[in-house]
Amino acid sequence: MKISTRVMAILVFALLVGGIGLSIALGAWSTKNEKIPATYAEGEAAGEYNPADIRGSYTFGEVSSLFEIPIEDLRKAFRLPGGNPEAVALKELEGLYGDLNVEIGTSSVRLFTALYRGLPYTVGTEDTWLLPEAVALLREKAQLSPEWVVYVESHMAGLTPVPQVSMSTLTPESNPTPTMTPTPRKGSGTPSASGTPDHTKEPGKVTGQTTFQDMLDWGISQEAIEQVIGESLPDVGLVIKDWITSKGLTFSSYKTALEGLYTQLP
Amino acid sequence: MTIATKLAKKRRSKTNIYRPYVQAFFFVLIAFISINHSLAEAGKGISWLSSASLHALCPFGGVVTLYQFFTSGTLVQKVHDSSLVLMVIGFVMAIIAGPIFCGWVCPMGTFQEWIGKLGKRIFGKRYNHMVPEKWDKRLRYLRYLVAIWVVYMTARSLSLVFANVDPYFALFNFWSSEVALGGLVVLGVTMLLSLVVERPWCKYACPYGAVQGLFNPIRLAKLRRNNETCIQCGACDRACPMNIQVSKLDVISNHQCISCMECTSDAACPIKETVEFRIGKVK
Repeated sequence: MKISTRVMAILVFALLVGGIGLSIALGAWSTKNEKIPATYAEGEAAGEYNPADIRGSYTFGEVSSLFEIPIEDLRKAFRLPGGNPEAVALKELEGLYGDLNVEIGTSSVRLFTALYRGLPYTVGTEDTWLLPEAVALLREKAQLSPEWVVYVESHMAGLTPVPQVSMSTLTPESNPTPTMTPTPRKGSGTPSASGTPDHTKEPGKVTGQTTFQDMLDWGISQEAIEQVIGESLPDVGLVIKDWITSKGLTFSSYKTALEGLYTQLP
Repeated sequence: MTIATKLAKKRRSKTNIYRPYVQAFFFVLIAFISINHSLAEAGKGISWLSSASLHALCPFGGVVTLYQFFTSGTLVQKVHDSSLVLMVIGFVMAIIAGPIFCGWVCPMGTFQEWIGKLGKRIFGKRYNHMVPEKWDKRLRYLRYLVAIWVVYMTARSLSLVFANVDPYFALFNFWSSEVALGGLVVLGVTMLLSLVVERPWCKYACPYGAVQGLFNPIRLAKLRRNNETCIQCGACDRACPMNIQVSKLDVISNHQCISCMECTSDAACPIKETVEFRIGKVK
């Protein structure tokens, strides 16, 4: 049987129109996503939604709902407008922060979500940046590994790298615009604007006032602390932060690991 | 002048009369849908016209999402159910008659052909014969590497990595902020090359064309040349946009054939029933 050019033209339309029509009839034709992210196939997070599959078409409301992150935290982390942050689509971020020399976009939301929820995540070949507010929220609410702490602190959008100054001394509240300068952090031992140190001795929370003795009092063994700090325990009355910074190290990198010791207690 | 040469000259200008209209139809349709997509995002869309994103109307999206679809039941970012449907339709087409999607539907191919018409005017007979054969032969397999790379990287990253270099997306979204610079660069290079080579993107780089081309050896309708009636005028060779030497083959199963039918007796071939798409053998 010969297929002429006319038959071929008809065949093209018949297959495309017929195929699409059939798929519509079967309910298989959809030009919009269902907005259900992929789940982890294996590992501890198996079955959980994978933040790597968050798409630019998602709204912050959907991210909040899917990953159970309070919308208020997302609003703060990405400086969303107060009125209706749920309705903002992630792909709008790039437009909002187009004047920055780094990209705050969907990948930033993926990273923030993964870290906030403590889910496995691999940063792609390109660096992913976060706003200082997002980093502050993560440090406040998430259990970050030392590696992640180093990563997010070195990927704060709008920051000019300041050698010898730990990023952990930055307070997001004092830096409402992307162009920031380091200022002392609350609870760092330096009085805040009100002159009152924001220090608490809450067990498990390593602050700028926590001593090694405090940690021992919480029930954490000397060996465990020594394993984290990498050497013998110094004078237990020393403030941990002071000791770490005196070594030229970044406090925040150790803070999370030391706090992790408390959570590991039986 | 022999009868054969006279016949060949007489019919040299004859082309496939239906294909340009079909191509133009799909080009305009996709252009309107793409414009409407942008308008809809600004709240000014035309209600009776689809405002689907271009990713939703690309069958290759279905191919690259297959790994994720089978491993997690979801689709790669920006890919939609419609992409899978179009992928299936594209494969059905290819099983029946090879890459007719490439030759008759794909707006990117159509766009290159339109630029090629200008190239033909400029370079005349040299058009589409400027790449040294030695290099041309090797470069024709580049698109398979592109296809493997795209499928692998998409599976690994869970994102539509190809969108960053996709000239098809860039062509219909050049006004949008969604277009990656890489896509615009590839589009620009493709446009320039189209002035000297027919369908350069299809020949050397298109990953979907690579997949479609795999169906040529097994397509149900075979493109056949009847050696008994063939006068060896070479009209079929000259008409082929993909530079296939049709006059030297009995059955054209070359992976580069796009089933455009420009070589057939309905178009360039001056002798009736000599080069034809047939299910079954030539009489």
